[in-house]
Amino acid sequence: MALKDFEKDMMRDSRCSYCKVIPHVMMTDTRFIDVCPSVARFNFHGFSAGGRMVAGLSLLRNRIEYTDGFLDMIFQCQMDGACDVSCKIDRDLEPLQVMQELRIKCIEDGQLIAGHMPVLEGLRKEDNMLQRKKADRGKWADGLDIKELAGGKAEVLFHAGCRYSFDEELWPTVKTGINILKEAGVDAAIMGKDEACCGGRAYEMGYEAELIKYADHNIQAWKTAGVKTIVTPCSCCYQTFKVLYDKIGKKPEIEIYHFTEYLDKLIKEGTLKLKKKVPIKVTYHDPCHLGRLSEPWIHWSGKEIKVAGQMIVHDPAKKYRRGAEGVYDIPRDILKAIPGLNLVEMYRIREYAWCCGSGGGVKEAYPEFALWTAAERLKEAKDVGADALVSACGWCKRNFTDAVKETGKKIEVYDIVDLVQEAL
Amino acid sequence: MSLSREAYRALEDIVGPENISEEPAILDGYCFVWANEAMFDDRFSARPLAVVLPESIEQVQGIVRVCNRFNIQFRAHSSGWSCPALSSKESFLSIDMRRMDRIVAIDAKNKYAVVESYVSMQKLFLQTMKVGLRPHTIGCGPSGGILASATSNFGCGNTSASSDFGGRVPLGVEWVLPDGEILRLGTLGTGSGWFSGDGPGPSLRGIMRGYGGATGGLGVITRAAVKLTPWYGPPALKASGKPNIYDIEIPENFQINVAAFPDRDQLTDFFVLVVEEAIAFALHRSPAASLAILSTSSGDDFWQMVSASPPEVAEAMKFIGVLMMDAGSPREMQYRYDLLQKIMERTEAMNFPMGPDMMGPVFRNLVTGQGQQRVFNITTGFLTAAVNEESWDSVKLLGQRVAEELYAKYEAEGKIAITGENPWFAPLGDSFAHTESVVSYDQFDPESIKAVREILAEADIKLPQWHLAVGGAEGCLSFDEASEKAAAPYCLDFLGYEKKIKKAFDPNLVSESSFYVKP
Ligand code: SF4
Repeated sequence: MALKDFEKDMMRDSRCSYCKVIPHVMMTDTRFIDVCPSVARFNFHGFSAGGRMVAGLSLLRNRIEYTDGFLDMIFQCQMDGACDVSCKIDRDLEPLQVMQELRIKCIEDGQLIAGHMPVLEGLRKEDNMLQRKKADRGKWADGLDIKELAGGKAEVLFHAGCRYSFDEELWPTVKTGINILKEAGVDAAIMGKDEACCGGRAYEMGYEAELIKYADHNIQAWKTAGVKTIVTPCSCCYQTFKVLYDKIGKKPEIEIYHFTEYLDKLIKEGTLKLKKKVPIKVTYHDPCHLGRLSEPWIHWSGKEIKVAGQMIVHDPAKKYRRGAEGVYDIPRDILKAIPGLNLVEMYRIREYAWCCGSGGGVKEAYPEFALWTAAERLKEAKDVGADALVSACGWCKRNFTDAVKETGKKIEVYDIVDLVQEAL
Repeated sequence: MSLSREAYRALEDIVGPENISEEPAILDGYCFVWANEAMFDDRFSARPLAVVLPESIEQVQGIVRVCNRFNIQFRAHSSGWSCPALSSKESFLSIDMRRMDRIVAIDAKNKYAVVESYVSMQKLFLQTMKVGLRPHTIGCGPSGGILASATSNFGCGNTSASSDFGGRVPLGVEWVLPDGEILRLGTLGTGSGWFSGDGPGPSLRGIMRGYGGATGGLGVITRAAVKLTPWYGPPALKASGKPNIYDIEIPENFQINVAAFPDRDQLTDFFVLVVEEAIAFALHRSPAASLAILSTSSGDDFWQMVSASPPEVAEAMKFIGVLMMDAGSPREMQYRYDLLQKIMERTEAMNFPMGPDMMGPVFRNLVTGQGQQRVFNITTGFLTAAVNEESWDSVKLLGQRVAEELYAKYEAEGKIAITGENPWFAPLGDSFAHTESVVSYDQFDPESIKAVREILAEADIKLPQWHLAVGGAEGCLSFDEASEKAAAPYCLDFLGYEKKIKKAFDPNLVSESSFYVKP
């Protein structure tokens, strides 16, 4: 697909601004009505999905040229997809896909974002998004009793992802993950220094070739190693393996689990028993990539036909991803299964969850905006009386932790795995 | 066209560099809106000179003064979801009121709220529900600006029978006139608070908004008090399930009835009787297809439902009325219910049974206004080609005549969607009504757009001749005064009065007036 293929979507934008807020029936508090960090922060319509639909059309029609202002407008956005859900409450349009194709076009046309460049260079050289040495990728697992694939075979692969692999503060989470798997008797392995980036975050920055490259590489590596199941604690990797590889026609014939799904399975089977009390009041932050963005891809090919004069329908009928099929209940079920834990909900949850702020290349190129977005979420968590914010993604945890330091907010930030560990 | 550097700096000094933009990609978001293509040659109208985002009345006043000093045309908007908010043939300074988004006060005892310009219907309603009150609904949907609909546009919606239409809603008003002076209307003008629009203090509602609203052609309204109506529902709506058809719990003290009538006369009588008895929370006539649009998840699903429906059903549902009643107690509901049964009997109404799949979405739409724009999914473009205010007879006549005498030819040629008689009709308050008839077309098809333009032009001429309405797209008088001129022989010289008002209030003619009146 290309931007051109979405011309009709852009034309059909009505400029209703639904993409800026949570629909009435799903909202109770006007202080947290905004769903899109970008327009909430920068205010001009161009910073909303609707504004980017218009900009895409303008670009196709040569009404505008590339400028720094235009690029900031396109890239100061986490690509979190909340706008897409709010738009689709009533419309059959694809604003998130338009925004994705717009970024791809920018990159293809050589319009690069300075803040992304070191990351991309690092990725191309070292196969990770954190500008670290590839050789150090498996260090987080040093001292763990875990099989490291080096040309060997394993049915269950634990894919740590770039963030957990190189962010030392997050290592306890992945180490815990491995220990839980071992305790549950799961014969899992890691790829260590041979693990590569999923390509998903680069794709969100507009680098489609990187997604294709890493899809090919990873799928081949898994095949060679006889991998049947992948478990990852990273929501971005999970969404990339499950949704984006499928989107580009490279769906792996492998079971993909987010770590929470695997944990839930182990808890419900009785293999894992949560016994210890964890008396804490927490609120759960739905990571965008585990929630609405992880809804399975829906392939469609067909044509538009006219009926009853000028009504337009699709042949065959088209189905839309509206954010309904993300992973929402499982992390909540896990938290509810922890004795003594008190789970309170924020206002913007599930398909309307407010983004942590780090996605879409924002953490890398616009760090202040990333922190502003996270700080808004911390406010919401405090407002519902939570002592801790729990997420299920390393990127979320990193950005929230940074925002806590920056704002001095008194709130703990956990990965759900950390709390499960405390309950074991 | 662009602003002089001096003018730009003057504006920048007022709002700060973060809140002014001349970036073409950003400006294009302010000249693109649905139905533009039917009025201009393109989806885009003239690109604004710049966009500014003021955050206070002082900043708005400063902007307006700069515009007077440098002879810059300006127009302000809230959500920006209509041509009169954004579109013009000539470039102007677009004032996006988004940063003025505060609910200043909710006076539950005296049943009004004071809001800034950008506050949406949804935002205000969410807050007022908590104290048992509701604002008037806006036909375009929940993101529409409550102040814009009360002070600057016609302003009607599903609940206009109970909550009134825009013209009767504003109380105290704070208004930056086109020359930059600040005028406070009603009790606000004498420092007595916001509670009355008519004094003690200047009562200029007729000038500020008249009947249809000055749609940005007479300065900027920065704050207004809007009246509120009792809300007997819960403090928050309870929805569950999955997007985009959520399950919604209909509160016990609400009841929806869809009634089908044998003919137009009975339908009209039904409306008159229901309004006389004041039992409606929401009341409107709409095409039966609109129920299907609300309760299906996509345009394709809608079409599957409609095309599978036997023709007899469509025929039986040609004349339907949608009524929702609310009540403060079970006894009151029983009373309303009993009355309704009598009215239905008298008007030979047949109850159209709805399952929960349809009931929930219809309830959501009647309460929040959400769902209307699903119509874009199947027709891509639609526009109100004929609007009538006042006449009860229009419920039977307007839709029929428009369908037969304006649409039929184009439908037969396949240039517009075949919708037949499709008026949307809603009583406004207790004595008059609003009817509109939409034309649906394909935005990509030049022939279809051309047909719509011809229909609009014909409507301008024919509606006054039929003594049914002044024409004009989207409930505003049409661009270029065509409809006003066609209507002039049948009405008092309203155009002449509007021009006088315009000149008196806007001496430098800077308040962009394309959808109001030519100076
Ligand atoms: S993207 Fe969707 S929700 Fe946003 S303005 Fe466009 S049509 Fe409306």
